[in-house]
Amino acid sequence: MSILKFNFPASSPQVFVGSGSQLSKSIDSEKALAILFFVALALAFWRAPSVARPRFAAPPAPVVSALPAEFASERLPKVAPFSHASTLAELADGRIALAWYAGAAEGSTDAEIWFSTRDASGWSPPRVIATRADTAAATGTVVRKIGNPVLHASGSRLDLWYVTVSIGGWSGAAISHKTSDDGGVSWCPAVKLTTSPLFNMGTLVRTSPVAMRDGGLGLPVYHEMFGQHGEWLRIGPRGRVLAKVRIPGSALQPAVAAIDGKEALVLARSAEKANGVVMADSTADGGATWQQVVPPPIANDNTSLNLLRLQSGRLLLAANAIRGRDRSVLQLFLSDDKGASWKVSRVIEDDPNVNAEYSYPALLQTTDGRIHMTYSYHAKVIAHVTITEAALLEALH
Amino acid sequence: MSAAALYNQASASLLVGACVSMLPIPARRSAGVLAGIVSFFTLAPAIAGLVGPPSVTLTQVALLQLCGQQHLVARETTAALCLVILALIFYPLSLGLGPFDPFDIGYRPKLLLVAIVPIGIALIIHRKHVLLSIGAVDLLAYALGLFDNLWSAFLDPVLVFVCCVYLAKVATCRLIRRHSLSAACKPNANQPGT
Repeated sequence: MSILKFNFPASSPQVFVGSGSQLSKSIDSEKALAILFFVALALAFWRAPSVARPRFAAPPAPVVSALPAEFASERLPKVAPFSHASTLAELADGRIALAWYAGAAEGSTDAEIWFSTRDASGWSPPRVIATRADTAAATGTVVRKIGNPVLHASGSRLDLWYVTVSIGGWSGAAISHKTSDDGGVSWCPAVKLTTSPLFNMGTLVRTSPVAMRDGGLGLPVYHEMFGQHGEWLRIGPRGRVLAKVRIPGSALQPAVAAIDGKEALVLARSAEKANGVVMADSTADGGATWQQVVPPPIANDNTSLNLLRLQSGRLLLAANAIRGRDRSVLQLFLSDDKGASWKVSRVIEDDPNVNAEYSYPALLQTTDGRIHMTYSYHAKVIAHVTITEAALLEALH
Repeated sequence: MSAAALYNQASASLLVGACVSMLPIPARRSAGVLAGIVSFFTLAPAIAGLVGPPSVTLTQVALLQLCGQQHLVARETTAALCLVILALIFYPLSLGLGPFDPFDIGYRPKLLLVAIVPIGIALIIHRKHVLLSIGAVDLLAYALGLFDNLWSAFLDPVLVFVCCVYLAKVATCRLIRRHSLSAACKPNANQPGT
């Protein structure tokens, strides 16, 4: 330790009276210390990132899908009594990657992140890609439970963020991050993101990131300690957090769709357990600032939703949106005016049993134009739906 | 394990060692070193999970305590007071009170680093060499990539708690001293001629 090597002069100058060599020695060490401080300052300045004005990777020009109306649904095999919070990404070779967490129950200590890919022959056998033990070993901290995963594919790289809790409930969570360069076959050790100054607790992730023009990502997250609000993490091309912007309003699990290079819409889960509506925010400066906007008249009683910009330019929303039916009805909505108005499209699940659960939808449109949705099916297995835009338009009410 | 994770675990072990070295037991420094080593393999991950990444400032204070050099920082009342005042503003704002989030500045800390220049000059002028070297090591740790956010290198809630305890101790000692001085100066009514 450098401070122990230095010969510190005492604070009072009279100590040096009568000893010329001692005085010059301490002046030397003072100079060395001052130089060390400013060298460290210069190095820190050099390492501090210079961040350009944020811009979303502009979505491609709208293309009308030529695919006919199609709809298919299937369920993945049961891997544990409880399966929840799925996430989707399209790999470079066109396969679909799916991750979710599963264990004995929600928040159980045996929960693990499971992963499967789908090609023309179907889903691969699910396998575990993150556990409490491997996350704890990689991050040097105790991990009590893990939860919500989020996948993102870009070129050959596959990113996985997931919730880890060291102490307490979900409000004590932090976000861990892993990457894979071989389509999810092998993963690098987890790294914990620093997102909160208070014990690095209270930040969770649930919905997919948005690509930024600089090669980085914008990751919507939410904060659950001393109040609940959405946050926008700007992540650099190498995975480093560059900025954290608050998304106003009491919104959980914000889902983001970029409209163009500067504009984006956030729809989020309301924290209200009854009579809630979908929360809405927007940005006009690439996510540098967010403003609350008039929420769409879509019910949301504290249940997760998801949002996707389709290749046609329309916005697709998946949500449990029937008041009083909790999570027993799962619907798709379409908007062709950037989210200003929404029309009910297909009803994916409608169970008369109000306690039935079809929740936590994930959305993806693959390059072939097909739309994929996964969701928790009774929180026991993950269900997968393939649908085309023509089928969505056909079902418009 | 990444360098940052290794730091977290090593720092948490130092905290354990420093705490043990403050206990009223024989050979407490040796006991502290031993506890630090043992906890690296046992308790440290739990502590790192509980308190998050310890700041480099806290790690250095713990190291000084463990090395028996705590007197080097034992009289920095002004610095401790400044840190507590800063924390009283910083934490509520960072956790969602109001629209401004000071923690966000720490991810792109060039402005923050410019603001540190006059603080560094003031520390040099006032010959606060220990604080200057603690600051230098904090900055080096950030420059080496142990932290993505500069605030996390400088302060953490445990350090703020340590400063609060220290300030409370200083205030109590001052009160007791003042009380005993005034008691000693008070004229004794039983003494003749007073």
